[in-house]
Amino acid sequence: MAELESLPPDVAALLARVKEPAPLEDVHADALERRLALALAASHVLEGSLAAKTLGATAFAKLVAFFTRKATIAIGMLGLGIASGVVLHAVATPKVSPAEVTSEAPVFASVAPRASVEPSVPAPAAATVSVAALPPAVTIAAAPPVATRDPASSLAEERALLEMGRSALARGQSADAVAAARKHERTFPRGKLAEEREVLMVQALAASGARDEAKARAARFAQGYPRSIFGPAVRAAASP
Amino acid sequence: MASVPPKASDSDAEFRAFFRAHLAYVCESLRRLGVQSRDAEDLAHEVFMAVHRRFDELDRSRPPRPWLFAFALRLASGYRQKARVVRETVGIEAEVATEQPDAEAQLARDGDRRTVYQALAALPIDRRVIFVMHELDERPVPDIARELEIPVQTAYSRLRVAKDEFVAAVRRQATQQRTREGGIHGRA
Repeated sequence: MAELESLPPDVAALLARVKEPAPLEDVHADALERRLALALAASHVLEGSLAAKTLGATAFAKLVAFFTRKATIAIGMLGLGIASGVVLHAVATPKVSPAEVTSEAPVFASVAPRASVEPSVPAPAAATVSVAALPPAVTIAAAPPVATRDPASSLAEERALLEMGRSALARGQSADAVAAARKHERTFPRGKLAEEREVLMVQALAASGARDEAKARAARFAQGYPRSIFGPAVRAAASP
Repeated sequence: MASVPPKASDSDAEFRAFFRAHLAYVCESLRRLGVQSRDAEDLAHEVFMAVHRRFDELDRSRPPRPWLFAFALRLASGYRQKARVVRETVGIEAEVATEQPDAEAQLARDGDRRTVYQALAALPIDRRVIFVMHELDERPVPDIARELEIPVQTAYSRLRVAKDEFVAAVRRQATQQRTREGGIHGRA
């Protein structure tokens, strides 16, 4: 084995002082964790993986996504509705009714990464997506987009809105960030990313100088999501 | 898709804990490998996305840092190619010049790290990697050679040159520092 000359003492000491990584501020780590959770949630939905507890539920959620996407672009609506209804019933395990399965699937899809961290937080979106409404395709075409939009695409829309807001905030355009958060609030008041929206809202409001609303929102956030991993980030954003 | 663990929430919780525990190390490694501070968090995000995809391959009986370093190394070399950080040796200096005043103060407080990043930037990447792995992460040279798929002797000789280069770069900085403090010419 080749012998290596050792470093001069002062250089060795310099290296020793930086051997352990620089500690990261919690705010940064929180922000990164949030970003990672969102990206993973999105990729879970896209891949249809890790989202559901059972293969049946995953396959079911994917089918719902597939068929409702077709339905919303209004191609052979009625026939497709019937067809998807048939297929969905065939895929879902006999014991579990479609309504039960989907009321679960979107929840796991969207909050899987943090479900274990805050098990007590109710999943707000579950009730708004009703699969019973899916098979009759005429209803899908006629109904307002939010109520019947399929879980995957509405989650993608939610995410896109928030992503827009976040990047605006990162660019220092806090008014745009607030606008994006408000739009998300209007469109998806109880959306699957409502919690993330509130985080963005508080940060954007604080950055735009709307301290009072930021504080009020932060307080409401603390009540609504007492065990949120974003708690520290929200508090930090709202405190002067 | 096939690698989905049955108990998703358990592994998610574990992944989160893993992320929190090792985020700082990943960021630090990326910086050492030449990723500029403004890009380090983006790259760290990419690293952990990749780590998540391979999380079932994590060997819990071994220290996690070498495993993570491999991800950081891959992402950082992609970053260098993409960003075409041509002036590797002056990259850090250019960055210091463009930092915001706050960040600059932060850097000044962390003078040791800045010195090290700057000196590392003076090393060509193949020698810098070995230097970082051995001198900072304290990994045995044969391990490093195996991971980088180079002969052990090559690893030793690169490390030897890298050490000389690193020391020289630190000395050069000290000289420049003295010159600046002497007030003869303040370099922007």
